Amino acid sequence: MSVSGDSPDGDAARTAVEFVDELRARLAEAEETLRAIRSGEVDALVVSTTEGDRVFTLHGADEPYRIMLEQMSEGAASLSPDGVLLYANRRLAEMFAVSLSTLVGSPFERFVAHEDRDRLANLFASSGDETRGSGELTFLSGDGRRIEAHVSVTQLPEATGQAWSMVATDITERVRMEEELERRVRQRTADLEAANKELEAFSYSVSHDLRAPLRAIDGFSKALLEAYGDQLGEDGRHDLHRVRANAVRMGNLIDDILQLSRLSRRRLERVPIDMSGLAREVIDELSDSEAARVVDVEIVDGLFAEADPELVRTILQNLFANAYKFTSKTTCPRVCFGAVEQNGVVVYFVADNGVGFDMAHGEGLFRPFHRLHRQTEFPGDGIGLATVARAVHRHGGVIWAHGAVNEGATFHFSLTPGARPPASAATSDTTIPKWQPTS
Amino acid sequence: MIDDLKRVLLVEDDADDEELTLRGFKRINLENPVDVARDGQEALDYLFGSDGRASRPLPVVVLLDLKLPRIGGLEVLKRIRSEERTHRVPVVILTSSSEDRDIIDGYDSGANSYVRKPIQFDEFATAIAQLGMYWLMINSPAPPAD
Repeated sequence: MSVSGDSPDGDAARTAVEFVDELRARLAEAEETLRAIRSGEVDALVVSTTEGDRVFTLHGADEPYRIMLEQMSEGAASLSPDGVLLYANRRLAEMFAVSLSTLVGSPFERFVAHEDRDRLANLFASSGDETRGSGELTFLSGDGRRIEAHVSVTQLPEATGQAWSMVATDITERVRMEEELERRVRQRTADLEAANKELEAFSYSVSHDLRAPLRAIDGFSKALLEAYGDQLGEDGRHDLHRVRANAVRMGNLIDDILQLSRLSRRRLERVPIDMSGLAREVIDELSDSEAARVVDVEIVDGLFAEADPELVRTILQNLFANAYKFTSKTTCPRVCFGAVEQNGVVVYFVADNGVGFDMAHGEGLFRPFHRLHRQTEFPGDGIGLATVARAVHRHGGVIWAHGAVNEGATFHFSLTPGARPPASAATSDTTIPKWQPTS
Repeated sequence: MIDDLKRVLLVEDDADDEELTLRGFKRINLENPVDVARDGQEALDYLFGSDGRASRPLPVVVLLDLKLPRIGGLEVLKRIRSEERTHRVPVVILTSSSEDRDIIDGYDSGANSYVRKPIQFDEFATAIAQLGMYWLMINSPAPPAD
């Protein structure tokens, strides 16, 4: 277009350079402003125009935040480094029962219970990279109420002069409910301890006072038989024998109830037990006392447990005695003791081929005094299986049974937690939560 | 002659148990006198002479029930063991209770033996007979202190 030189054209060129420089400067300024807006450092712009400076607030950017802060159900505030409230939302003012204008400018400490002021200081003590904290504080509201709150604080970036933001959640109701719950637990525990003491006193009394009259009934019946047996005649003697037999039966019943109640009070002691050996011992005792019976007994070798020896003996004694009893009308009676594994838990079993039981009535099997057979068919007091179940539960184990009329019964039990009765089994449901899936 | 002086003290509040125990002794034709105290206080009075018969010789054995009116059996036992005059007297606890706690407390308090009263009279009578035989005929009591 033209050639530069000392001419009016030269001035024009210089002006153009200045113009470009000015444009460059304005571009840089615009870019800096944009950067500031993008990074959140600016929330308003002052723009010079021919009509003077105009302020443009970044309306769209912070409005949602403000609305959120005002609407949220937590109290929110920002605080200066020395703890003066710079901003507070309406919820916080409600919580403290003061007006917003009173709140802003007040020291936050004023609303914190005296005993919690150290905790407040700790909450705001930032060390190193630790620029946030949370904890529970008790607030004192303007109208004198105590408010339990969970408080979270965060130190804001340096550009804001190291102010803090704070969010406080009113947990007064929750704390009250927790305290109420705790109180009720304490109450229940005390009730339970009292009930236990009472039960202990009761069983002591049962053991002592209920037995004495039975001894008298038996003793004087015997005296009568010895002195006047001849005069009583056969029927009279028969009746007296019935009286004595019943005194003995009631004595055994009392002893069994006592054993059942003692099982729950005894301290559980786990030691390694040779289960096969113990089973053989129990069977030997049983066959000694039932010498007339011939029962084919099979005990699987090499079974062990880590359990309470006395409780396990009680379990085996009862289960084997039942197996003997309920095979007494079976030709070729058989009893078997073995174990299977379920979910890594050893589950022992005692099986027999006796009269069995109807699974339809199985739900009462482990209940004290519940019997599935008539006294005249198979004598018993209905405490044996309840005792076994309690001994198993004391170990954290479970017990279940399968049976069919005239096809025998099998009792499974574990001595460690983790096993589950199959859905089809008769169980003692007292310790098995309903929600537990059964395999 | 000396044997005639061997006495048994039965501490028992239940009249039926008292009668059955005496019958048990009678079964083995035991001629020795059996004195009966019907509660703990009576037993202590008997042993320590506060009933005005202080010169009476000590029993060769005390058969002691645990559950007694006024002063309980364990307390009676402790008093027997703590007094110079009576601390060597053999004491057999004869009770209905088979609570571990009672057995332990019994021995800890210085009982020489612990026998649970059986319900069946035949067993009870056997236990009484054996106790009588052992403590009156086999066991040697400590010589009287003077």
